[in-house]
Amino acid sequence: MRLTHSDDVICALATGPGRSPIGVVRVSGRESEKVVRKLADFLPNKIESHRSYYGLLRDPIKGSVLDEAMATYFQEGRSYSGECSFEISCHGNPIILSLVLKTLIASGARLAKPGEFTLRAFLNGRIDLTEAEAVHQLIQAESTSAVRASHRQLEGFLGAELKRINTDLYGVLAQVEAGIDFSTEGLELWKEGELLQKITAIRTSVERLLETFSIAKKQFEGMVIALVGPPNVGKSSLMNILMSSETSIVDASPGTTRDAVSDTLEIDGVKIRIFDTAGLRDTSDRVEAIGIRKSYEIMTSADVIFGVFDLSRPETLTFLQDEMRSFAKGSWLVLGNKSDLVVDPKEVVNPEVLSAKMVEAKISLKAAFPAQVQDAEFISCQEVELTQKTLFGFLKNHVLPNQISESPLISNSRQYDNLFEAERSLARALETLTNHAGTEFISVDLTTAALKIDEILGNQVDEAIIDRIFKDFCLGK
Amino acid sequence: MNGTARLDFQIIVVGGGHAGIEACLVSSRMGLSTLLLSSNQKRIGYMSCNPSIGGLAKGHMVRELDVLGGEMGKTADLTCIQFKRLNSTKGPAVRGSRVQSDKDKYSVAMQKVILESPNLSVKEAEVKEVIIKEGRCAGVRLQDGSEIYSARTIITAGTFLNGVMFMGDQKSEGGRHGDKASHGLSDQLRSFGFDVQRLKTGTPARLLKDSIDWSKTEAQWGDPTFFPFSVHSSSQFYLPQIACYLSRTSEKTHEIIQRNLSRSPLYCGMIEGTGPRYCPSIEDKVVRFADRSSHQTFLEPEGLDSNLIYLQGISTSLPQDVQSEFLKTIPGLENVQVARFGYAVEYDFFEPTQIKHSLETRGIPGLFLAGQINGTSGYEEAAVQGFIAGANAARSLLNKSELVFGRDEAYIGVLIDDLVTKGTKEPYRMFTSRAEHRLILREDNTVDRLLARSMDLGLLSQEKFKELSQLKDQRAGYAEKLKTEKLYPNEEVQRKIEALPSNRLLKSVSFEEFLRRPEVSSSDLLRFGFEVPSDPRVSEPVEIEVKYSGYIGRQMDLLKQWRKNEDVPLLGLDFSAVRGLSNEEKEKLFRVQPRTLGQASRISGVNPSAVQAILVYLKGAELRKRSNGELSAPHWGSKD
Repeated sequence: MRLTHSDDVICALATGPGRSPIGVVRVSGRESEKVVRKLADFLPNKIESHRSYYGLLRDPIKGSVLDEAMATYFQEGRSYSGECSFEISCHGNPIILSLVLKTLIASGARLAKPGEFTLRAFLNGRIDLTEAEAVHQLIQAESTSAVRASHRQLEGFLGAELKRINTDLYGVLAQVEAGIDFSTEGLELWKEGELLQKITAIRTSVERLLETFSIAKKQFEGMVIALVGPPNVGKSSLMNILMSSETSIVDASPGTTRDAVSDTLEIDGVKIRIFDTAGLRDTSDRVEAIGIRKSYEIMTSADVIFGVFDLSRPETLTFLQDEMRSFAKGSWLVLGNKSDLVVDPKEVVNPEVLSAKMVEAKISLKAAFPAQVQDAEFISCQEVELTQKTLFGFLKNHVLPNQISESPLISNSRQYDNLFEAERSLARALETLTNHAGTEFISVDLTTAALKIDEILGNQVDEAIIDRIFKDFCLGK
Repeated sequence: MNGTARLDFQIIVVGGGHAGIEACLVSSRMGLSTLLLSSNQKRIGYMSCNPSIGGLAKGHMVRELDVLGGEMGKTADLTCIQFKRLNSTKGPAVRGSRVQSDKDKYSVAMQKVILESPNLSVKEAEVKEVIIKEGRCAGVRLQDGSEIYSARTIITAGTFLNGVMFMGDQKSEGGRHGDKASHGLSDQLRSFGFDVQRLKTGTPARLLKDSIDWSKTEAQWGDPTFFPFSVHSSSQFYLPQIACYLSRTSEKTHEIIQRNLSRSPLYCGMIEGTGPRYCPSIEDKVVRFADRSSHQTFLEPEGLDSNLIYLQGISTSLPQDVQSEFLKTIPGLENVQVARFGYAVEYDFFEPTQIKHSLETRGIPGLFLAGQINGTSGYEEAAVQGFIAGANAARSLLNKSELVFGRDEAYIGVLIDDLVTKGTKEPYRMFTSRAEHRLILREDNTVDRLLARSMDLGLLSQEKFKELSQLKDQRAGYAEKLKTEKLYPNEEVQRKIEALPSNRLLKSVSFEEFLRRPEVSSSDLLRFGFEVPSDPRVSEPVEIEVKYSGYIGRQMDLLKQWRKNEDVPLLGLDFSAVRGLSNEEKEKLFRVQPRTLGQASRISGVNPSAVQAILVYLKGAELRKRSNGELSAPHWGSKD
């Protein structure tokens, strides 16, 4: 028996689909060098395995620059899949990455199916039979159980939305196909303009769903909290309390925390990634300046920002307020730290005294930043348990409920890949329609789109179009 | 086993309809002694319902059948009284030829072919049951008790098995007006464990030509140019061409039908069988599309000399008095006289997942089923099945391989694969939308697709093969010439291009690239000194391939992906050993016994994940085989 698949060049995003510092696109297949070279004309004539090449990725047709990238080449027999492969590191911007994938596909690759790199590794003898047993499980997990697990979700909002899209799509297909197979029966069919409008609307829905992948990523892969504030207000200690571990470097001299350090914890089954950022202080230190830029990036992508100041130094609050004003967005929890320094230690555990001060502080903060400040709390890193309770309480009340989205979300790569191909097919159908080619040509791409969506739903498409024709039209000569 | 077993004929075909005819002709032409049993010899080749052959997707099948050596196309051409190429304004893949035939002349011509065929005998008799010997079908037992022995038996009983006709509350046994039903056979097969179910179909009234006021209808003429179905036919019409006439039902018609619905056997629960959704009765149309005030109907003459008019689109099983009343509300039919009222017929069919791609039953070797008893509808669907069953019955006796067509090769392949893989719940009709490779399954390239297969079958004459091979070579030659010869942009050329009108060339291009421009056609190339074959049969298919190469290429890509699963054989695989299949999936796979992974993926209820699970299982088995150097039982299934 012939090995299947092995002729195709496959590509996929190897890193997560959201925004990240870098994003890696993996390409595998006997002809992958040919495909990659179309985009990466910077590759020397002879390339060496396990070496990276730097240059600009370009669209082979338009010549426009897609991104600057590092392409690492792995020769046949020395790669993960066992085939000639490339790993292309780009900037981790989803728009750039999807553009790179689209261009690879236009150059002859196709999107990899779930587990396909591993399957190839298995088929090419890179992993042995015991490992294959695990691969089998993995493929099953990616297909059977993942399909069945996602069925639970598919019964809900996503399923309803996909079904709605496919109902519309089958409506269009029924028009197109009835016009072909029952052209002599005097049916009243949509005109070209109507078809154009309907297909465009369907494509818009699909694009909107594709965009939800990054939201879903948060829901399924965790939400993001950024810890920010002027230096030396105790952010790293706070992080350590949150993690109950020694993740961050804690030091008394300002500006010690230069890189964003992150860790994850789980509350109510939702994964939370917390970034301890460098402060927002103006600095002439070049290395620290990079850290500060990174802080801004993290704040932008964060679901909630913990703005920390030192209660014993009012200027830190002013500083924080200045930064909130210039950042001008985000959902903030303002934390007055080191309450033990301003309040009698005995008062720390006295909620009444604390809350009076807090109410005052909250009122003034909320009045100053009505759109940004969700809440404010006084805490002390000396009181580990109390602080944890306060913070987790805030998260449970204010942040987590928003994460349980009521809207349909694309939540895994299998769904994303299929939907991505559906979107491409719809785009081609529109192109065909505007070129006034026959409807049987539009049908090729519309059917492919419907097939891809049905693959997400786990349906079979065979009879669906014909069923729809009979439902919509009065036939029978 | 028994050397002295009685053998009267090598092959028996039961039923002389469109399936039976092709079955007995192909087997006798392959040199096997064949007996055609018909309950009514005068009705061999009779067109029971509408007077048309072909149409969309159906026309494709008639052409395919013709290139392989079937009879339907030739006879349809010979008796054509109106020809139309449907969808002529649409793309080339979905154009379909339709012929309206003179019904009497059609059956007379078919009977003549059969009577003149060597190796073929015809006997008028009714079959009661099949004879089973040592688990095989060994012939048939007639109603009178006599037995006829054969090595292969093909049943093509149409709508006759336990057929019941309905008109209002009148119910009578029969498979067709004027013909008796056939009893015994389906009950016998059911007793052997065959899944037998009911289907329903219907036919409209036949009207007397003289009683119609034609001035109130609209004449509809066919095309002036004839593209005959058959490679044997002349491109001149054999008979005078006539018009059909268009009229419409009115609100008054619908009101009468609505008022009498309770008297329709369809609506009072007398009929259990499922009818075809694409050919609903007029009562169905009125009920399901209540908002429509009118439905069109074509009045089609049944022949040049016939006084009968077929009322296309108005099939019904309402009582006679209701039919009389509503017919008179259709313009032109105010004083109509009815020769025969419409009726519905309900009949037994065998759930077709019980047969193999060869159309032999799984349960009883030597027994083949073809045509309407497999759940199809239409003359063309029946004819191609008859041909495949006849050819396979014959080939199995000649120790030749099974004749099976791929879905990417022919509509015949789509039809049979659909039937044996998915089964059917309503009378199955072919549509172009059933063919996922529609763009390459065209009428114009039938010869290119099937000539090699036809050579293997050997039913066409040497001269015809030579002629068709030449045609194929000429096409290939023209295509090659378009690729290699170039058009250079000198001033004269540019002027001519602008005159077409089209845009000037920026650099030299091949004639193929130039022809790809939407506004340029083959004949335009002559102006540039490029020699274009004068025979449109040569130039047309090539031009189509060039113009639509982008779409065809995309479909070929899909096809390539899909063929991979088609190339993975599954016969004999123990599905219970495959991990990750649901019980439902296992049961379906056991029932259909798919030949390939591709076929498995098309079984309804077998999910894409199951296909991957099977694939992974096969890979594991292959690796173990390689490492052990022998075929060992797969152990993934039992390990945990």
